[in-house]
Amino acid sequence: MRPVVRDFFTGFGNLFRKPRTVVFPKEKIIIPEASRGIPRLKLDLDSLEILCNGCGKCKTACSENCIEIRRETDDKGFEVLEEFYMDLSSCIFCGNCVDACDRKAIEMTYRHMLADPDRASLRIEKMDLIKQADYSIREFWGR
Amino acid sequence: MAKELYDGIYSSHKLVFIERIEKNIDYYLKNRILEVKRLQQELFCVLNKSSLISVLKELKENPEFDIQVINSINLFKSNGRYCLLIGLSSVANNYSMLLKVLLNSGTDDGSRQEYKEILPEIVQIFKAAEFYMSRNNLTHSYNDAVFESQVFDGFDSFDIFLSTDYDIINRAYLDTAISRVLPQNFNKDSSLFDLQTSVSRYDYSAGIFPELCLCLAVEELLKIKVSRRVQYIRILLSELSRISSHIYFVARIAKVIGADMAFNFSLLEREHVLRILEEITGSRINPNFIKIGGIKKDFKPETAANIKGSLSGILKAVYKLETLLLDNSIITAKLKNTGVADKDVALACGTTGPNLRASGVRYDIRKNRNLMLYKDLSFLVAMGKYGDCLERVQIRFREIYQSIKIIDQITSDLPDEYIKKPVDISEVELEYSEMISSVECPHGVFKTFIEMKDNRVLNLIVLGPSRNSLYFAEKILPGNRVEDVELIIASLDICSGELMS
Amino acid sequence: MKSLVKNNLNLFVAGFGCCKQEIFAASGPVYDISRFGINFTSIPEESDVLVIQGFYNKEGQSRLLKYYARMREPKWVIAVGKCVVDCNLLNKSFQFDDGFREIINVDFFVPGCPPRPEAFMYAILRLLESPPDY
Repeated sequence: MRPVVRDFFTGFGNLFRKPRTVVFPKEKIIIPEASRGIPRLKLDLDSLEILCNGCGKCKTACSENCIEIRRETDDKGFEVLEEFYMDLSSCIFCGNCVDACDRKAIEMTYRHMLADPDRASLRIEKMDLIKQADYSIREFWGR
Repeated sequence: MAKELYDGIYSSHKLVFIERIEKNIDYYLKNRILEVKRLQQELFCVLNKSSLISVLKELKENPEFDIQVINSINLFKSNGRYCLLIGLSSVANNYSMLLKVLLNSGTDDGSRQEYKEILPEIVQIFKAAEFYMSRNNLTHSYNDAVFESQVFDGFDSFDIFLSTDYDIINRAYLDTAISRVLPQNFNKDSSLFDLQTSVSRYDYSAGIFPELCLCLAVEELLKIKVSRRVQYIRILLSELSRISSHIYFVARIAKVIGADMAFNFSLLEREHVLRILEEITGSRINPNFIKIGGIKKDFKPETAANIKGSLSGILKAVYKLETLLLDNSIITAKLKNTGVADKDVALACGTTGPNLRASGVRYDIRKNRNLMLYKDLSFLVAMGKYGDCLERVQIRFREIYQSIKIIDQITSDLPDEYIKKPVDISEVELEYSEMISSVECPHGVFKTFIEMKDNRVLNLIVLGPSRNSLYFAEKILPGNRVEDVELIIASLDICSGELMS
Repeated sequence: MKSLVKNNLNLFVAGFGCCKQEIFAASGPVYDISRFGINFTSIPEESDVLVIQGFYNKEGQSRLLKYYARMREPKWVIAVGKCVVDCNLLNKSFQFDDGFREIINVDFFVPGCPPRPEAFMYAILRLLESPPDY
């Protein structure tokens, strides 16, 4: 008899409880802070320039060779970053590139929902990597 | 007190015991082996092919050694020479050893021919070696029921060949043709840094253990002592992933039986545990967190408090899950007395971990060896008696409770130390050397054998417990009914990542 | 897409590997993929979408082609995880051969190692929203 009564009260209580299911497209699942999503290139907040100088340490640290960097010399003689390609189709989101960077120019966002019918569009370039900054704000998930 | 224990971590009575066996091997087998040494609580012997059979006979029959279990046989190439790696262990004397047998021929085909010739002789001594022989009887004429690899996780990496008498199984063979993904020369001469990021895929239901195993081996080679806080955090993570793996196992069992409520409930609980893991490591499955000489980053003091706070919820939920699944007389009647295996069969197959403990053998390398700081913590080794499917499910539940107990102890007194940065591997200089290390992963004893020079890993051989579980399944399936095949195989918790090599 | 298929989409998950547990986690109560009428089946004839994931060798590849041939039309293919989208993580020398690529053309790529359950669900929802012409 007792289990029947117990089950009745559990079932009755469930009527007033918030459902466990996250209604996915409407409300987003809040991802923990340390989670690893798409990498992005950081900007200097004052001058709005890219912190990365194209030293290539992340390229050597990447075990899957998904980063491609091209540098050029500017008119003052400094070497600056020209192109930064990242092939997300071969990225394993291990976070080694973030650890390798001395200037802390690269970091990982919370964005990870990637699906595309075209494989070539998963290879993203410098401007797109910077634009990921919009998505790194946690409020993105509340939108 | 604890500090003294920590200082004495590398010396205990267990190691003295291994030293005695090492001396005995030196005495008895002096002329027949080339070299014997002790690598981190395991023994390692190098010998020629001609003396292999006599050495194996001596090891089995001499009561000083008393080796009854053969764990694995691997063919690999080291230093331009083909070798055979044979894993042996003795549960009675509580030690395990690896034999490296140098083969004569230098070519690929010749070594395979030699391997085929030598296996029947090993089978006469250790019967379990027949699993590594080429199978002629995997054809449809021998077997009347063939299950191809299925969709659900856990049965997806092998085909089951059965020969039946009405609905009783006479013989069973499991074929892993589709899961042999890796080529034979794999993991040769790759850098340690690359290997560290990808090694966790070998045991994907609990990704922390392969990383831990690799790091323990390299730390032993470089003679790095890690701080107590790092060791505690490693234990914390490994116990958390043990809980998540065991809950996933319960989900699979519930799915096979058809208990949908328990299936959903266990997946929900798994989400909670994975969330804690993700908060610490940054990824749900493949953490890439444990580095050589430390961990990737320390966590905040609030995180420890959070984990401690959520433990009671997990404990309550797991208890609820257990009552939901096992308080049901229909489910217990189905689980009871199916797939019964006694002690001797389990030992002869080389099974380790919960499957062995369910048959009534107390063998847990967290207790039996000096594995990290497990001896500072108080926990019980969950034990079964009858070795049927019910026992194997119950033992997982008891292990979850023990893991929660361990995590509770760790989070209540986590030592407050500064964690040093991990060692920079690119500058390591090392002579050619070998190392074995083993950890207790949720499926059994996970062992790796590596050969290193500088920062290059010349050879990495993963000796996972799932291969032994497959052979164990072949042994216990005969005598059961065809409808219980899925249930028995699900209750052995086979992780297909370990079958790849 | 025909509304009958749209409201009752059956997935067939082939292969073995780490992505599989994340795909099945989407059927758990937190994500609950069956809200959209999506079910997992184990019979290729019943399924509409073939999900390719995990590790393959020559034997596994031939089996995948067999499953694909047994599926009824209309049929779609989703490739999940780094090992299928790019190259096998643990065995870089293995590639699907050209004959395979001619027969199976993938409609959606989901990168990640392994992708989170919501990433997989996002791909399914995009497939439901705007299915590629078959």
